[in-house]
Amino acid sequence: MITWLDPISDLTQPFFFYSIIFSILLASLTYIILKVLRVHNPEFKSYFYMIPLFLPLVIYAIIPPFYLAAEISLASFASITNMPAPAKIENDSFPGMLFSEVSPFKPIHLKVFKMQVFSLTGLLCLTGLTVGTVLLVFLYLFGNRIVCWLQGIVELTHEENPELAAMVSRLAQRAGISIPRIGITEDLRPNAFTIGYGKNAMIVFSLGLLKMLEGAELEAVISHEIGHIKNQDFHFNALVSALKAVSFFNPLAYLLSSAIKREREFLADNTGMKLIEKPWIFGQALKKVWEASNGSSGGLLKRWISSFFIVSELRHQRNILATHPTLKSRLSNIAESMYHRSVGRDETLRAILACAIIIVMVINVCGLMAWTRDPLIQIHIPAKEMSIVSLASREANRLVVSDTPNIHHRRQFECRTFDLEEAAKVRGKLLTLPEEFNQQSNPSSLHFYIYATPARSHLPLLFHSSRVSSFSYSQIITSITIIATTTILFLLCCNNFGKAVKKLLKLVA
Amino acid sequence: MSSNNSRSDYIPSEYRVSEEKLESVLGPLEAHVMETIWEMKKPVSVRAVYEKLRKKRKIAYTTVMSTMDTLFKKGLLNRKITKGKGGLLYVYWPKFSKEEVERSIVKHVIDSLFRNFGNSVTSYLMEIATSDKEKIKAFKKLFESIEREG
Repeated sequence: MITWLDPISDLTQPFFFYSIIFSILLASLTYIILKVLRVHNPEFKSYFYMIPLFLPLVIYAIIPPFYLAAEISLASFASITNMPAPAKIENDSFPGMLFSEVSPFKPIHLKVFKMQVFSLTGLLCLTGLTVGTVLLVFLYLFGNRIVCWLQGIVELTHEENPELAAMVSRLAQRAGISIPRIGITEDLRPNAFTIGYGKNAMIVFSLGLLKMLEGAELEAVISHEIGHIKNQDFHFNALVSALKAVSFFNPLAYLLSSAIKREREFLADNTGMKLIEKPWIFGQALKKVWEASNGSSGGLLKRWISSFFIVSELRHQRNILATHPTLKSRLSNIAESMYHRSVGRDETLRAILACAIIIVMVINVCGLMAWTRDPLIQIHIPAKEMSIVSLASREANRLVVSDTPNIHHRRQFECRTFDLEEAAKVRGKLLTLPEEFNQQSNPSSLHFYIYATPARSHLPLLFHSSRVSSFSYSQIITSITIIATTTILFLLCCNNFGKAVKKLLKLVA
Repeated sequence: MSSNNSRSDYIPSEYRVSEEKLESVLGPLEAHVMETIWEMKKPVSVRAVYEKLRKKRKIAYTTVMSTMDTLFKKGLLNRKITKGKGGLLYVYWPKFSKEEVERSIVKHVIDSLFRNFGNSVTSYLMEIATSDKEKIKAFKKLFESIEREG
């Protein structure tokens, strides 16, 4: 039996909620840390921006986004005990949980109750994971063939255009990579891009580009594309596309992926610059191409599909999510890289520091999640009536039964832990709750919250939550923490505030 | 180049008697490309022609591209820029049908023969006409039909 959750509780499913909120937190913190520590190197930055994209995978590993939550079987009380049989087992649409009321006066039907709570957001996450994986496999297996077909790419043998081939071979040798193949598209506007990787890499020129540029300018464009091949940008592109597909429901993923691609462009510029004698010529060529290309080519769908396979279109796109930096920023990057041809040791150290901070953050976040489990099942049973409940959970390694939403809030009695190893033996059979539960409980009625926690989570639990409200406590606390931290850090980043704090500190000192 | 486009029929620049069919006025590759484009019956890009030709013989894209450019300059092909695979590109289509081109060749070659060697042409035609009875019959029929219509 599948029941649908209500929308809010669906949105607060831990895997979904955390994957979005933590990646946003991590992304903004990464951004701020890189700013504060003055890490400008595009290579470092592209790696840093990857981390928030990976985070959802880690979160899914901790909290699998399967059809969530509970599988519970309630069997007859009367058949096992001598207690009056409860009559009604009701399924309430309580967020994610099963809510069963057992009344003492009517006979219960002898049946096993199984329930799977279907989560829409879980489905979203699973779709993302599937699409991401399929896309990755697809890109590696058929990527080249598809893009050749879509763009009408014709491979040129090295004899067909010996001049161009010689230029490509020379630059490839200088970069220390195997000589890429050369392809052309019939586009009359200037454009160039790279497809494939390793020995199969192909640099594709448009007829328009070959007509417009020659000599040193063409060489500069080739060196940029060779920069992409050398930096393994096909793999980067594929990975980022797949990760973007994994969290396709998260707008942040789109921002991050285009930011990563932009950084890779800068990096390819820098790598390419080192291969040619007169780096500024690339700027010149870029400007020419920029001015000559207006608007988009082909349909939106075609361009979108192509974007998965194509590394670095030279031509620019006019939108917010453009994967290419603006001409101005690129030209200034080129100018800058002409002076600083290698990464300073200082910057490397700062990057390592930033990395350390971020790793600590990720570990914290994941730890927090591993320890913070929302209850799987909530059962409401009139006091004294309940003595036997059979539980089977697919996910839990350990079940904690408590009478309060907060396990650590032991007002009335100790919470109980059932080892699932033990539970596995009795799975499908009935499990007796200890006497104390009945004796010490509130006489009118008793709420049980059954938590499933991972086996390794013997560490002290930081937050505990129930699903009494749609938002669990942990989620509320996380949200507040995130908002507070981000605000403070943003404020710290603002010069004025930073100065004010410094002044204040001086005054105090 | 533009003057070629406004012309109403094809004027071959040369005629090689030793060659066969279209190759008498065009290069072998040009003839091959023209035949292919006529077969394809719609505006085609260089790549489409290249891919079709490649199945029959070893050929380079750039060769097909320059051949088609030459054919355009000779006034046998028309071209325009359209949106196609990969962006804005040239598509080519034949300016004349195969029959029209053949007629133009015959017309211009015979005209030129008459102009340059009129007497020899007439006497040669007489020679043919008298040596072959079948041909006389054909000529008679032709003249009769002209008279009837006239």
